[in-house]
Amino acid sequence: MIRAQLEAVFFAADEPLSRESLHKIFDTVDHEVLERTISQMKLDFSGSERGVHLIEVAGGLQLRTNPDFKDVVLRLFDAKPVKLSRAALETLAIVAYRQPVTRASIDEIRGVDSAGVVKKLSELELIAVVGKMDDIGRPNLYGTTPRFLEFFGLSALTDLPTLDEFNVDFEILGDIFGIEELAQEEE
Amino acid sequence: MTQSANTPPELRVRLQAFEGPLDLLLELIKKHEVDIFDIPISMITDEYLRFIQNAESIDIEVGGEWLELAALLIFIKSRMLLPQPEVEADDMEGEDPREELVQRLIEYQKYKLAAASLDQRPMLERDVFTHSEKGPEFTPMLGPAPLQEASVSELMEALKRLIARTKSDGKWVYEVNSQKLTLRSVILDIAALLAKNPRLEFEALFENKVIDRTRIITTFLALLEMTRLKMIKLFQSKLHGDQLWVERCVVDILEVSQELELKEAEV
Repeated sequence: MIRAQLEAVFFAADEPLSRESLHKIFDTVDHEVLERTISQMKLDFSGSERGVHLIEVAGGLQLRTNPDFKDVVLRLFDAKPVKLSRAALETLAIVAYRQPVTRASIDEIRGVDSAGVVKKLSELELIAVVGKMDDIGRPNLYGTTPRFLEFFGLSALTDLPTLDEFNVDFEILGDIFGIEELAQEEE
Repeated sequence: MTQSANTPPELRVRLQAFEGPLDLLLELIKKHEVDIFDIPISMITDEYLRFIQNAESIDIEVGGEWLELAALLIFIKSRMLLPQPEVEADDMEGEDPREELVQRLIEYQKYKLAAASLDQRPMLERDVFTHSEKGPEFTPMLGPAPLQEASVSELMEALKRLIARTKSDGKWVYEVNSQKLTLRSVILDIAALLAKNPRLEFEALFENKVIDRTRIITTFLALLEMTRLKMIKLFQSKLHGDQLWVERCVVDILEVSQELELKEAEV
């Protein structure tokens, strides 16, 4: 019964539903019962047999199509799938891991001017100004948005692999410079 | 970037393949399978310079950041040629002129890998879709937009196409008793349609209307006036060839158009 109601609510929602809003909607239902039902549903709505999955995203729960079937779903729309350029993905990665970060730092890491990319990502609402640096000119500080989490199907930023999982091959770490500390993520 | 006609295609592709000088440097290091912690600086510098010269020789503007790195490489190369001052064996840190560059390369490489891993995630409206009121059609995209703002000439073209189609369908009205259309009435008509529907195909403005010269000219003037007043925007679709779209830019378009101060000139 509750399960069917949950299903209806998830279907009707047009954004991820936080636990908080679910508890509000189902205020007469015992929290534990609700949680158990949700966990069960997450199991049911998963795997290659299902066209729709219930996933944890941006701090909430949402029904999403199974990525295996993207081609057939795309035929429904008259639009090309969203495409992020390599420059956009690089910049997003830097903002995601280094936030809050200034454009100057992004430029420095990439070795190229990132003004255009930062503007585009801001327009897409994947990054936003989260503050200003206490420095000459008070430059903007950028961070990722809830939309970023939704866009990449992340429940929270902590879902991202840590940066040191992306280490270049440190096997060959010459003792040349003693850069061992590079192998650990700079705090 | 200007491309001369005789650019070898493989080079043209290669130039656009790099995000910037660091990207190119990493690529060279990978290509020659050299140890990033022991870069044969002289070889890599030569390769890098050759690449830039190639780019310049085919009239591709090489931005300042490319030259900056070239200068740094040459500087490191010259430093490497100088005899190293005697130091204690365990006091080697910071003695290698390549160190700072290596650190930058490693850091950049990390973010490149992080970017690749982001790209592999199930991306919304690329791999996965949700049940939502609006389809992906109205979400902004990176890259070339599916719609581009149309110019007056594209509006003229759309009108010409409409006239041609109306004539071939035998629906063109040769002015026997020309309709009395005012600019105001046509603007109000368009506003009423857009109030119901924020984006319309250009042809929808003429649905169930008598199409004659007066109607065409008045509509043309109305669209120009509304565009000038930033009430609407005209877009040309890149997805379906020659489709012109009219989109409203103000929510209360009807109210706005009712308050317009127009010179009532009959066409």
